[in-house]
Amino acid sequence: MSNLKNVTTEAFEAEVLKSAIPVLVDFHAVWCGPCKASAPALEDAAREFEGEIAFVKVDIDQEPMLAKTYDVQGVPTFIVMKDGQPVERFQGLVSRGKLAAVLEPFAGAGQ
Amino acid sequence: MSVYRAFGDEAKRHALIADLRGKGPIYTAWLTRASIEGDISIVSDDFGLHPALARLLPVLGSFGEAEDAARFYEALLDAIPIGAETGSLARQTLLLAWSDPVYGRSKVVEHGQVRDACEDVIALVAQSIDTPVDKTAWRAARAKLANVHGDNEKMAAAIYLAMSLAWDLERAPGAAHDVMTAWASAVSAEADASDEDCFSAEENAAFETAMNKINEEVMEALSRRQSIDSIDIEDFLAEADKIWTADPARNALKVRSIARRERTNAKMAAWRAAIQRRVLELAEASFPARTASRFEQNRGRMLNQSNV
Repeated sequence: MSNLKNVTTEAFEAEVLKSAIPVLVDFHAVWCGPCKASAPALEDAAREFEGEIAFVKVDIDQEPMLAKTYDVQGVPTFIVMKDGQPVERFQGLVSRGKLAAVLEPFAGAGQ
Repeated sequence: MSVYRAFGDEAKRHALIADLRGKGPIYTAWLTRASIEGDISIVSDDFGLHPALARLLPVLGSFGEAEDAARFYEALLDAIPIGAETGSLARQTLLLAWSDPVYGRSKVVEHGQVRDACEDVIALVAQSIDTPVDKTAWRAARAKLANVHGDNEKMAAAIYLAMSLAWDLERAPGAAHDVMTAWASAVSAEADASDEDCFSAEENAAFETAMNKINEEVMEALSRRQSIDSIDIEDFLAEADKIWTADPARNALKVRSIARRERTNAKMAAWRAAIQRRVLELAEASFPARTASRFEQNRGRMLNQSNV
């Protein structure tokens, strides 16, 4: 079962903006190859940081307003949200090494 | 440790080798929608190879593009005994990314905080060959790595590689793929940088601008003659070639770029061949009984041939 929850515009405030822990938001699209190729690394990272960082997905075609709000120009785009604010952002195919490098500081802060 | 045991029986080993002979190297053999997402779990589920070992193989086979990949895969599969645990071999192979005397990243990282942080990770990978490593130990090693910064591209690439190594391969076997791609990318960057005909910054910028402009010109020219949907890659390349060759100054950059790419590819092939040899040596050392029995079989075969 996927560790990444799909989040809609309606649920974004509760799941992301008001989250007690940092959240990695994966802005993706079903037609996007690099999004699919990034999925196994994201699943592993979500398991690794369980309880410290939440991982959610936003389908940009289903939720265009969220994509516009966060100025998503391409997919995949990843935004780390902390206390309702974007604190880190990166784009393109991700590896576990990249995710660990970006997320470890936030996981440490959440502990 | 791992629940995966190689092959199950001799017939399964032969079936896997036959499959690779028929379909091509590991990445292309099972290039399904799932494998694009990095999942070649059939190699583990059906043939009992540790998922980390399966996932490091595509890079060593140049994702199916290298002609030497099939021979390497066959030799490796032949070196693994029935029922062997192959996670340790995967870990030993990944350690080469740091410790190989020619290509290992340890040679580009000077003594200091970065090296200390990388070596902590390497120690954990080495420990994990025989003993499971606690999640908190991986996390501590990654946190230490996250706090150090490389002051040049080589150091940054080494940190990135160590960050990819710092995962428990029982929980995240896909990290093996990440390590191999990070290593290949670092070796490729080094090959580019040491090329006999490096572009200057100005030439790089000029080439990139020319490429983007020509790509636009190609699309403009083709779309005047045919619908966008009907343009295929051959049409595109043929038109691009015409435009490049019509401008000798721009084309000279392209010719140099292609020659440089070929030299880098040759260096990458040498890297792959060297690491393939090292992996086979590791397999032979890991499974001495299998190595001895194969030696006896080959000796018997040679004696029979000489008697004929």
